Amino acid sequence: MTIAVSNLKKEMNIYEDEKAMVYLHEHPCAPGHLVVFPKQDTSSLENLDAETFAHLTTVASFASTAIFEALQLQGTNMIVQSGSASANPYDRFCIHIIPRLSDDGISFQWKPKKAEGIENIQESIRNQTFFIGKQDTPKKQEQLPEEPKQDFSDQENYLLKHLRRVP
Amino acid sequence: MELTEEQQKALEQQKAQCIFCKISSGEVASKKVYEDSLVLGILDINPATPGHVLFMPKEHYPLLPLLPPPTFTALFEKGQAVANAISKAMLVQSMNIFVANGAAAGQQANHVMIHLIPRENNDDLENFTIPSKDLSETEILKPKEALAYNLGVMMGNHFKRNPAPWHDLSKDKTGSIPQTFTPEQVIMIIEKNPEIKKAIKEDPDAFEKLIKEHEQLRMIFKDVSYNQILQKLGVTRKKDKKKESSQKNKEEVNLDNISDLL
Repeated sequence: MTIAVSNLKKEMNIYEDEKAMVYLHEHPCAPGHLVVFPKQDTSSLENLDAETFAHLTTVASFASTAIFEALQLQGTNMIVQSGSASANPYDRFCIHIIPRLSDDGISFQWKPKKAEGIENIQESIRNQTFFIGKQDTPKKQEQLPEEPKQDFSDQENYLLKHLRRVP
Repeated sequence: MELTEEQQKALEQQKAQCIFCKISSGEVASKKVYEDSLVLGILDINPATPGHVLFMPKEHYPLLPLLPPPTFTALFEKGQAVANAISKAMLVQSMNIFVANGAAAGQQANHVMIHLIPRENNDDLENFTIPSKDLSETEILKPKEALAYNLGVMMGNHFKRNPAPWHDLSKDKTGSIPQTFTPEQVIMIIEKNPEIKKAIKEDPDAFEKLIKEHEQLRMIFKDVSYNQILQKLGVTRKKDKKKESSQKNKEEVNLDNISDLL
């Protein structure tokens, strides 16, 4: 079941600015479980511009410090969920901030798999990361060399000449 | 966050043994997928899913809050770009980014890193389905006020230091974050400062007076019962007050210590 962010209860909101908002999770895994959302209605990381995502992570990092101090925790997790296969319960991209204690019984530790075809994966990711930082440098609009003006009068003449030649 | 000399030394030792520092210097081979002057992305050799990338600052920082702002920004801005590159390369549309702060949260290496994990349906990874606990609304809302206030002030200070063209500063919360201490934390502060401990043990009554007079001490003891602290320290109040005057000098020294601590 997907939770619509637009239906979240107002009293669960703890922070809001022009780009981000932070809510207490309605079904938390521990008291103080927070969720950071973008104002922009998107479910995918790819649709967020770099500035917005960097701001969301800044908010998430401060939110993590805030719960760490207020609730006397031993650790926190930050989990970004982007896209429909990311286990995201919301209809929007989100970052969970999860309060952790050493004996809380929560574990996000995955089973390590054997790396198969790691060379191929490396190469295909490298082909994509090659452009990072190169794409977003502001390009000066290159001034195209002015096209040489065509001398139409001459052409006309040429055509006329050509016509005259036709028997 | 400033480190003490001792912490700095421990950090140097940690660095010397850190496998990820050796990877970023090139001393240990790895499958790099992205690298610039500040950050590095390598393929996890035991991935959660194919294309799982460890993304980290090249410099050694044991905890996320210790990252200087430019490195923090680079880690997440470039991290996003690399995550998008992974999505394209692996032909997936979903992504989890996982960060663990502290051993209790599952942080395994003391070199800060974020995990970029590409996801697709039926990929046999259930770890990021976050469990939920049965909590009443009152329990959920209990920390709300403190969190809303503290986060508001933190963000207000953040925008003051880093004004954004899209942000209206006039609505920001300002002020300082009031700190409250639990009995355990107060005990810890006392244990870290043997002179305070000595002063309390030698004359608990005189120290109680001092708490009322001294602003920082008052802050520390604001939310705890002094008697409870005495009990935990195993100190009993003495009836005679003859020693009080002789204690005064020592307590003056303590105040400096407390100021350092805060």
